[in-house]
Amino acid sequence: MKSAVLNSLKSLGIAGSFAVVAPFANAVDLIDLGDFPAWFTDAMAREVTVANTSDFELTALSAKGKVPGALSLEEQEEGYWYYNINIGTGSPVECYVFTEFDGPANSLKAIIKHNLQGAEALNGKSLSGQFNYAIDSGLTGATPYLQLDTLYMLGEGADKVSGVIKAMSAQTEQSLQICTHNEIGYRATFRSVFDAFVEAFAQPHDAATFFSPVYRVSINGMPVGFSREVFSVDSDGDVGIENYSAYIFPVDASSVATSDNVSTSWSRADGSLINANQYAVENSTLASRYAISYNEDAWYVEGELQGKAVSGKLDYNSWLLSGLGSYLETEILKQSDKASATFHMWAPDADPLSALEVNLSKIDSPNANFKLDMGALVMEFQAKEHGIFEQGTLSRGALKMQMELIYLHGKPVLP
Amino acid sequence: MKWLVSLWVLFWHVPVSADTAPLMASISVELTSEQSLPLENTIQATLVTSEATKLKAALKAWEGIDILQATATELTLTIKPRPVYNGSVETAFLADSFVIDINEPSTKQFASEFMHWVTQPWKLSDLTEYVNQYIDQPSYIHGFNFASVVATQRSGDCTEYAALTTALARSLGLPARLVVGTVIVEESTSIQAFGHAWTEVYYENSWQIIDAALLQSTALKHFYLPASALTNEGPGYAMALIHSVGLMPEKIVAVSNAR
Repeated sequence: MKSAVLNSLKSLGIAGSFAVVAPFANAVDLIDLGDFPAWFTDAMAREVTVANTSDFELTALSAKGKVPGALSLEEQEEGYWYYNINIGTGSPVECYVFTEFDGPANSLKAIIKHNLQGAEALNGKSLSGQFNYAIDSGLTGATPYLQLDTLYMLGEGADKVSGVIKAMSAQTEQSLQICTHNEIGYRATFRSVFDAFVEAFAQPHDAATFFSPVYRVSINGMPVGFSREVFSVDSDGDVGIENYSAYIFPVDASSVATSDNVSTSWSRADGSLINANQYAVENSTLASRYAISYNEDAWYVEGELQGKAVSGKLDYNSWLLSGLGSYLETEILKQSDKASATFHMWAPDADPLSALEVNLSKIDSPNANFKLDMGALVMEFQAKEHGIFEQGTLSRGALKMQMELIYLHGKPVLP
Repeated sequence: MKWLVSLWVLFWHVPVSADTAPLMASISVELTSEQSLPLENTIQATLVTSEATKLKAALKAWEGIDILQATATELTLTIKPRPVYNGSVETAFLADSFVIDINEPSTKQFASEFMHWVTQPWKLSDLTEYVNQYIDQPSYIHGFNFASVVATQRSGDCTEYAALTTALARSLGLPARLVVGTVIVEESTSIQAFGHAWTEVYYENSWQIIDAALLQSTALKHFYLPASALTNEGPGYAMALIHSVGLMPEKIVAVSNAR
């Protein structure tokens, strides 16, 4: 794979001069720069000090803050804003705001594609190579983000040129922010602009929100996405649970699969499910949507999977574990003398028309105090107070998925 | 917890050719220090797996795989390039299903076009050639698309090739099943192993492996190491896939010619 990248970089040119500052990389680099030409590694290490800041305000979305550089609104349509932020580099940082979007993963991939098309038009050359350069997921403030940097080549032969598009996305409240920078290097500088831009949109938790964790998900050590849960209580004492998950999977050297998942469910205070619905967008296509509700002593499901209708009645008609129940039962088991407990949950991605039996048991290992056995899936995890997962590992064959708690607001206990 | 199940279901990304390396489907494989390439037609290997007991039981369904030694975490076996499934032909292997949806309009259209494309009388190898040329946008980004979706999108990796090939075989009246496992690929100077999917079709009184995804592979040999057929072709197929992935080895060591 490396040789393919290096071959693509042969006889490339790059314009401009730069000052080298300390290299910065939070992301996991998927390309080893060790064998790259010096001009490229030098360019990747450059940073710039941005002395000026801009006051930023978008009243329609209650966004307000200060952003490094000189910010200007370039385009605006209903539910869409596009800004340029001049940070003193050859290309500006470009930031997009959407109120209607597929999600942090799918929309990020779409914007990167849009940027590559822009680079083709600007240079009058066709895209001749594209590689996943770096990937990351984490937190900016209290907001989870995704990052995907792309190394690309335009043109052929002696006229070939290269570039790196850094791109990050974050969802705050009901809007999505995506920033990109089509310039080799300036990784820390770009990150600081993105952080400030997103911070302007971030809102404190709603008063009804009593618990909100964010988990980072890694595959074989590569951070690929996040899952964010928001628990709030209504006037009847029922708990609304919103879950946002976004993942970018580099499936080979140049491609990524993207998935955004949104679910909304209601739980009773005892951790039993009332109803739920969810949808998933994969590779910019609605992959599935489901809803489950309880009527006349039975659970009914309706929805679609890959465009095909899915509906029916579960064979199981009793208590289903809710997202809140997951935490409550973990804590109850932890405090009890019992070694294990068995529950049923509705996990439509596994099987929309069945209740999945899960067994939770105590274990004693260096990094885990619980084991969650879902039949074909077994996860070991460490639960802290109130059953909150701290970190966990799920292994199947050569794949190892790790999850870790990276943000916590409140606890899974009703106020 | 529920989102973890959802996440795991997304992980089925496997290779379609040796031209690019799928990051998540690679399985470490090593030759013994004494072994050089090329390999002979029967090789010996040790599979490192946390599911050795289950895998050992599963592999009894194929001839051409002989277990030499088993521990809780390792299976040492010999394997021929194309093990032969020794199970019976079931009516389900001819049926329309939610995943292998041969009665969907796009699948029907795809299958009917085969009869115009092929030179009569058709041979089994025509199925793989037809599917290989029909999927004109190979891509790893898909998780596991149903046959009708693949027939429409003409895109995918080995799972999509296998789903469409299985659908074509059934449409032609041949019992067929989608199998998930590992393929050991012998190149001229190296060997690799990947998670993979292919089709087993009952033809001329025996089960045969057909693989449209690797049809154009230039590798010297492919050794197909099955884990399981897709046992659930309904809306809950994902858990069956996960079960199969769980039977795949974590790594393959001590590969040599069979002694």
